[in-house]
Amino acid sequence: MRTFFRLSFLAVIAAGVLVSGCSKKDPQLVDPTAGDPGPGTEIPGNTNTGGGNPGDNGVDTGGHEIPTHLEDVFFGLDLYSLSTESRRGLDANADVILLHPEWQVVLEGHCDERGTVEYNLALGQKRADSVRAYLADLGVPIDQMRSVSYGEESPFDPGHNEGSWAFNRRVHFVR
Amino acid sequence: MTKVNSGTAARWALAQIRFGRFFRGGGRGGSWGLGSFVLGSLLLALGAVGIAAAQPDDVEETGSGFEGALPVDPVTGQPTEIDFEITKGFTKTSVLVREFDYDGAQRRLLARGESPEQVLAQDLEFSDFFSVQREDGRRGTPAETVVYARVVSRFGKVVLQGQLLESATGDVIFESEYPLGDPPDRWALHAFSDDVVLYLTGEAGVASTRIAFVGNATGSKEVYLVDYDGARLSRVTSLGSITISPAWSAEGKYIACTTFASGNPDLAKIEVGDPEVVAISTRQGINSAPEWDPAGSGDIIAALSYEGNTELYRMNSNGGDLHRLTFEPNSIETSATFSPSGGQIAFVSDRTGQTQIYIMDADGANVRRLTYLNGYCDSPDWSPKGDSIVFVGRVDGAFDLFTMAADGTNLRRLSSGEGNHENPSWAADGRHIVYAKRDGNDRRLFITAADGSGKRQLTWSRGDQYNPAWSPPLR
Repeated sequence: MRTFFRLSFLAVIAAGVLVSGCSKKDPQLVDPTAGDPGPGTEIPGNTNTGGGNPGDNGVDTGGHEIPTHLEDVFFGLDLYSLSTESRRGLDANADVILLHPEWQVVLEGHCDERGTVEYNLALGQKRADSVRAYLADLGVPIDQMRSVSYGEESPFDPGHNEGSWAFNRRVHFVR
Repeated sequence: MTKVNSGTAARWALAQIRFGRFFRGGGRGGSWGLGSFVLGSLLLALGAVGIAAAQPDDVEETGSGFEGALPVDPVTGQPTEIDFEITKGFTKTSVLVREFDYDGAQRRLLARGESPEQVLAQDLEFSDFFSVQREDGRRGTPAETVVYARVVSRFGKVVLQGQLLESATGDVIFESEYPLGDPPDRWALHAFSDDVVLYLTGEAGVASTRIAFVGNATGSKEVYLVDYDGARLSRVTSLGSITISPAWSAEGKYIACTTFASGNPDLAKIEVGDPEVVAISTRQGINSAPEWDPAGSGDIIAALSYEGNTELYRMNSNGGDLHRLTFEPNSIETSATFSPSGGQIAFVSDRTGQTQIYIMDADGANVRRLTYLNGYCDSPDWSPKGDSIVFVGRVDGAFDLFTMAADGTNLRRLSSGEGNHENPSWAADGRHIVYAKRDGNDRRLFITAADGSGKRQLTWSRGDQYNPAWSPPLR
């Protein structure tokens, strides 16, 4: 099961890498003075990746673009623990947020449609809270982040199958 | 009165064979006896040829592999060894609903082309206490009791004068009057039916009840109401957001809910009939899973996460006077349900790593674990009769309906292989349960008797109908 959605996750990333080559402006330009590799690869083709528009990058005093993309992280069934991939994504997100102390970031916790309305609301909260705690440990100020749970009420994929469910089990970044 | 299509019969027959039992149905179809096994095999052959799709019909039985509440193993959730199903402990009283007389008033049909006698007969039939005959030329066993009414127009108002008559003597043993209106209002028939049930059995009828639920036909998630028989579906909220978890106050005057109208899941309450939505708790984090004290204190128990973790809290109906009940910082506690006396609370916790159902005193003391199913147990609802808790358990991949006694014993399974069941809610009579289940792509509301028989679909609207809550009697 984990292999399945890991593979589909990779497939989507692969598609993203292909498509991103076609975009006019590459939002992944890194400020060379920051000294880090850029944020993780983009998942294009939908509006659900958070982080605002690829077009509205800030510009630093050197005229280079500051990354603004924040990627969502995904969870296993009934879990709120962070996988290795999730932590890598969050490490990158932390770097981006730390470049933008003026941001107010909302962490939306989401679940798939199985299970009950009430438990899923609590599970979504736990997912959002565990992401918030992880980012706070990396130095992101706590009051720059707000966690909100939508439980199973606002899915990204309306399908009723394992692929849709895996796609919906996430913390979604909004700023 | 109830249609059983060949698909239903086939699935029923399959259930017999699968569990290798002869069982005498105690449900709505009456006793079938041992010959049912042979009959079932024949019907299985018929069913294999053509399984008819159920047509939307308000009293159609959907049919299922389970037509009884099977005792199951408390860990595996599978039926325990072969045994004979016990029949219901009583025989149904026969009543005859006589055609009404009209005195100065016009005979008018209600919605869905139903006659007043038909609505009354359906209400009495639903209570499961009566074998209802209509005065329509069919011959059954002579009824002990006759239910009759005169519809009278008096000073421009149309009134239903309802009577119970002893069949043998013709004596009137009960009578009462109800404002019927022109066109006739279903509530008058429901009130009369509930009075008949109470008079003849001493038990509460549920004809005067409604079911609150969440629907998304407008594109937003709003709270809706529907009568217990599927009539008069109407929308309660117009918040244009996500509004979920409706919960009735003890006397049925208010509905509490969780709404995202302000961008955060907040607790709010609505007075039925009043469009205003009043905030109860807007604390940071989730304000969820409200339940009112059925003993009438006006207090609400809810799952709040504002102290960093989702725990159970008790508060008054304005969200004040807050008392924290659970202290498990590493786990989720939610989905609380009160015992009818208000003295105990059953709830869901994943403190062991598995999501299971627990019980505690209303002040949070004396926590005990109730369920041990090897899977996931959730969504408990305590019967208003106090003797049973319904919940959902996932043991075979999907969530099924289970009931247990309030001490966790007498575990029974009400469904299998019929899809995902969610959010069961008891009727005031303690004998019927409403729940949500996915039918194709959308969720619909269904009703079952507490013994798992007579499962029927209640709603067919566009979009999802889910998260139901059955009201107390609304008179």
